[in-house]
Amino acid sequence: MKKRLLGYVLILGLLISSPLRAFISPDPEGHVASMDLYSYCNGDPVNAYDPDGRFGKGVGSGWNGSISSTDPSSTAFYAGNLLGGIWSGEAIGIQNGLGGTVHSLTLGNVSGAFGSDPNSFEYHSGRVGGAALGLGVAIGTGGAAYEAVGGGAGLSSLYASASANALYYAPAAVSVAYNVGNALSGESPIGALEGSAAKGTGQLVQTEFAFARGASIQTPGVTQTGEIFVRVGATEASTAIRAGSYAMPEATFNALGRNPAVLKDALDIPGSAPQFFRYIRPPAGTPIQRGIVPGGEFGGVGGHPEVIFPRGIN
Amino acid sequence: MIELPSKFEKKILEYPEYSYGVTRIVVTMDDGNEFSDVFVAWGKEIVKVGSSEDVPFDPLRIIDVRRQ
Repeated sequence: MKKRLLGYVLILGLLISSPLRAFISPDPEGHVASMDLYSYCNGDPVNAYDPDGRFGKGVGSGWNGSISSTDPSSTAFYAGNLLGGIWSGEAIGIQNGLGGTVHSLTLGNVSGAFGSDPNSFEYHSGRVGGAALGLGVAIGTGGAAYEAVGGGAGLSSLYASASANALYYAPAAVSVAYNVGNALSGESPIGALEGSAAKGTGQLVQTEFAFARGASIQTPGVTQTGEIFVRVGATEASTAIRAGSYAMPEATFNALGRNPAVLKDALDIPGSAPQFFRYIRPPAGTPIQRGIVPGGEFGGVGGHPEVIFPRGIN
Repeated sequence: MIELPSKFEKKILEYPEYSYGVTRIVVTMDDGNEFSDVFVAWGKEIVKVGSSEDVPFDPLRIIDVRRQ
């Protein structure tokens, strides 16, 4: 049903500007369809459009198959390309053209709930809730980094869920896809992380997190089965592993010994010497960055292996 | 060693670390002034501000902290 109203057309409950061919009214699906009532066009009803009333598509986007965006921060990248592709029920590829780096993300026949929070700068704020049918993908965006979390048998999606689908995207034009398609294909998270050829999995390229000074060598990756790490701290509270926390491999801890002064020097820790330690046994596939303590900034010698848990450990 | 008021410890420990045990924050004083590049160990010990170990503010006058 269409009604002409002062140059606008009402289609399926969405008000569209005739000259612009763009919806300018909130999504009538309300929060059922999205956290953001304008997410069908990603908050930009002028530059993104939605001809069939489902999802907005921006410049350079496509419905199915491979799609690309030369500006990975564009609204089209998320609201148009990705969501449209997901909703289309067919596999899609995402090509990040910036800097000539191409990362692929393949999603199987998935459908699900999604939402976005493009205005938030809180790292975790992009996490939105889950798949309507248990095989879906939830997508969220944040300012400093983007993440998408979904999946999980009709439950609200959590990163820790073994069946979660996830897409990370960092403004440094490095994108990460992992666990994608896991819920659909039944692949283990490791399989998905390693970008196995199984249906519904994608190439893994983990972003290097800018918030951490990092070690002199940063090698983004994931934990392996049975790996144990140790976090030391001057207080018990400071031994918890949160997003962006450092730790060390158990072998390093064993080699250094439980000597606070030695640990302080080896890990270039300022302030009080660590008096507490905690063993960490993350599940296989936990994102991690490995490197070597640079040393020198706080008077310590450094030079020993250390790791960063960019997502923390629940 | 100069410490931040304990009320900020939990908040600071939630921030991603700059290096092992160290968080880099901005502090807001009660007069509105802000100091950036405040490096805090274990969520409470001010270890340096900028490149200096001198702390150019009174920690008791800090009204808020945020991640840098």
